[in-house]
Amino acid sequence: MSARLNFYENAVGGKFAKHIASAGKVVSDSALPRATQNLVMIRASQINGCSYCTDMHTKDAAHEGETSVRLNLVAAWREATVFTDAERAALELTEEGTRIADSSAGVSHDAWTNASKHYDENQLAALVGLIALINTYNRMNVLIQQPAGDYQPGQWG
Amino acid sequence: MDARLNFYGNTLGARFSQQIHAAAAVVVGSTLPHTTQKLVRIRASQINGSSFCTGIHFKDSLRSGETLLRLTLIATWREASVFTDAERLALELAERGTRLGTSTCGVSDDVWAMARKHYDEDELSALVSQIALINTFNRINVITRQRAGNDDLVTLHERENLTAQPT
Repeated sequence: MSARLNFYENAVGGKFAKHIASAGKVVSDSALPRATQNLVMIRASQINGCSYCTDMHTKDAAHEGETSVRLNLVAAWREATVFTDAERAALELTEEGTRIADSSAGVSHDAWTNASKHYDENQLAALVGLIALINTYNRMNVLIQQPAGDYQPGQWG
Repeated sequence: MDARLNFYGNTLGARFSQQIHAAAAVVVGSTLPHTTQKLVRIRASQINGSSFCTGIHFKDSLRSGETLLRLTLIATWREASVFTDAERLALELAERGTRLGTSTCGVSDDVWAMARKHYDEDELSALVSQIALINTFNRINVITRQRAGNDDLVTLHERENLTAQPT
């Protein structure tokens, strides 16, 4: 199985991906907790059916100390007792901010208000940026059918 | 009705925005026709319900000479006779690539094969990039409820210099 397009080696795709990665660094260097960033990226990638991103961010999270119980429950976090209230707010914002297609409601007042209780303005900006960005990566990888499973933490430096 | 968060005015948001605009410039500088880039931006923005993005790209397209008829029919392009085969494929990819969470993931082999006939590797890479990127902008603006009145579109858009491109 190989990708249907050599996107990352292509001159256009490669340059594009470089700037997307730089945008990612702005978020990863932010005050939004790293564990939360990983949960957000995993949840969005699951919803969007992005194998590559799901593999990468689950492995990164485990490598950084995330527990298997919490990783197993990201996909069904609502009745789970293993996430903090702040993490739950981030996960809710992630789901609503990912599922905006053909939705008349956008992101609900409740989801936003709840997130604002737990995160300051800079963390909220990071959260918005991160949700937008993981959705970007998901689309790049799903469109080209990037194969998944071989990712090793740290391989992208 | 103010935006929930002044994303572009926030230091982190502004730095983030700088990087994704740099990514946008890569697409703009590619060989994918600008007309096609704009159709894709509008269609994705409509699907994602982003007033701000739909407004900006509609205005951009008008300014670049796109017809009102084609702009009106983007939302219902399938039975419209006013788009080229290449544009129809770009719109199909845009829809499929946008609606990831709610439909069959991605693009079928048949559609991809047809896209390959109309677009070379550079153009296809630009198309994938454009589809991914308009979804980035849509989310920032939808999540923060960025206003889309006439003044808002002109002021922010022109300040951000989003259309530094030849028409």
